[in-house]
Amino acid sequence: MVAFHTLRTRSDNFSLQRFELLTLMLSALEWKKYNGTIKLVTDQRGFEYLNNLGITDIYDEIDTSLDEIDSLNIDEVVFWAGAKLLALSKQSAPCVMIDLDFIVWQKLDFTPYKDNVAVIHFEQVNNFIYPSIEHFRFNNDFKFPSTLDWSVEACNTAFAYFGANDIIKRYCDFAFEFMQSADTSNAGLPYMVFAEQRWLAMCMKLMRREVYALSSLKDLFGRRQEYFTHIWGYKQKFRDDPNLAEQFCNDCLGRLKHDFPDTFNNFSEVLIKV
Amino acid sequence: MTDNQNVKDDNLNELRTRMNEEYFSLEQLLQNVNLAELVALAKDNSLQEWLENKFYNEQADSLNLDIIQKLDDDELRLEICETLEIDMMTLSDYDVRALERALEKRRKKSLFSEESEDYIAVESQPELMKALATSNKSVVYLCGGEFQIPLSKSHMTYIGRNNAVVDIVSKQPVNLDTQNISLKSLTVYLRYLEEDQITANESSNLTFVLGNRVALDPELTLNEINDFLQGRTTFETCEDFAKRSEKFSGVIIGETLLKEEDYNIDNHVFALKPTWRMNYLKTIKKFADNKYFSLIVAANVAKQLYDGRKLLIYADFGTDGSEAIIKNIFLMSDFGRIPIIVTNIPLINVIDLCGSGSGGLGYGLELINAYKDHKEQTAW
Repeated sequence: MVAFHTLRTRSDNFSLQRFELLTLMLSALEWKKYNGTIKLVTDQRGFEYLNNLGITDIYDEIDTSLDEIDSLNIDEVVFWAGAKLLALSKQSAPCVMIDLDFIVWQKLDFTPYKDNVAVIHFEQVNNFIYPSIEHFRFNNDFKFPSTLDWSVEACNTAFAYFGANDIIKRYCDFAFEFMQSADTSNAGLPYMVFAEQRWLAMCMKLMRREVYALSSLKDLFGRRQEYFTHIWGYKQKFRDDPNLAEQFCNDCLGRLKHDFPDTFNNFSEVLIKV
Repeated sequence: MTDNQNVKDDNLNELRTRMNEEYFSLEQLLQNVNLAELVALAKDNSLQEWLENKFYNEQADSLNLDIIQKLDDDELRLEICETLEIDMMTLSDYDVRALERALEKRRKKSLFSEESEDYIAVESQPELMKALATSNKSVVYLCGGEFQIPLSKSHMTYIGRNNAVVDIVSKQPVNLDTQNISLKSLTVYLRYLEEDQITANESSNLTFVLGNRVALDPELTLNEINDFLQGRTTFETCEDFAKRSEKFSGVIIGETLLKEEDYNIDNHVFALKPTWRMNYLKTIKKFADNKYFSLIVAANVAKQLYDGRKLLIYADFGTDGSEAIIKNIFLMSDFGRIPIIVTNIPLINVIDLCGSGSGGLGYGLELINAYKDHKEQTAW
């Protein structure tokens, strides 16, 4: 199974913190170990950054077309995951979209999901993160289709399998239209998660296709699974607490050394230096 | 059985007559006499006499007056039920509640020494003070809570159960031995003293928590910290001030007493109720006002932390322009730093509400170390 990472850089002084880099490496290498190939979709700056670190070889393929997003009239401050959707729109199904801080530790079987979608977990809606239709404002005459079902649970897309090209096209096309039309003058998280996560569930309902969840929030946070790691909100904790980040980095280094001793030796200078 | 909790004397007399004349077996007795009536009959020895007359000698012996006089009504109900093998399904809700109380009392008693009944067991400070004032017992079981023992009351033994904590708030060295006070199986929290300022040779199995520390760095002084909290000096840039703040890492700003009932094993959330140190009043008020504090830790880590019971809360300070602030707070454990998660609503509610809005959370971090031995794993 082909998976892809998306790395979007938005400033000239872009860099990844050590814990981010180590997580990215574990994410890519563990995917390759158990599940298939992994591709990086990035912009030119992103490619140069990783190339200078000497770690681009962990990817089976690299696509640097993300700079196209500059011409799409999308507010990337509000839609910081917009690049992920652009990256997805360039892929062929079946494929897996996987966040840089998401790690899969075992082999997954995608055959049950066929030409549908499978995401890591669902999320409840009609709350302050997924508000009702009245919350949203647009710059033009964009309107939500009346056929949208606002009651369906949203899909967390830190990890998402797409089983068919028509799904990818419809999902991405409407998401871009939404992002380009949104009045972002006072827009917060609800806008981004609508485009990336809530719309996916609505789209699948409209297309009368299935969307599966590989796990649940309760099982994931309740430590009742051994497949997935998602750093998620811990990233901010690590930024705020260098000592905690150091503890985490040591754990990642230990795992890299254990699982990929050759890679570790090749990259060790980089891993220590960053 | 009928549900009749109040047995009047007239009824009792009639019952005694009926019992002696009409009931010849235990089955007949239990079909016609309810538990409240049996309790009343036991108290005046009527039941025991009937049992003996009907050749239920072992049961009569078990309900001997010398034994049952030491029991309260709940315990007597339990004794009768067990001795006469009463079917619990026939009991009323009232009786069931009474039996549950008796069983709980029995369970608690089993935690204590079986060699002597010369003890009292208390679960809170008010209970302790009342017991010391009204009882002449010299052995006190401190159960589960946090206590301050009166150091002036000599010839006492305090034994801990369920991770009890004793706070020593004296600023002067304490010699428990000269007071013939001994402590056993307790966590001792020293608010001001060093461990070597406590003389307790007759005590055993104590864990000391040193609350007199200022920070993880033993070189850091309170004066330095207070000076930093005054904010940026006139001759210091914001960048210099921020650089200066790096030194103030791992400062002890409070304590928390862990409670069993605050751990949710489904979500691995341990809710905390910190007590803050007054020295940091202004900074803590800004950071902690109207906030909730939690850990996310696996059950084995939670258990280990709970064994320590009273834990110090550390802070890393930072700056916000010219102002000193708290950046993050954490506990220290055998596994290293454990971050304390600060939320505007209880963390359990955040997890239930919505994943993407949860903030401060991730999952599966413990799997990074899954290849290691259990003991070597970090407490994610």
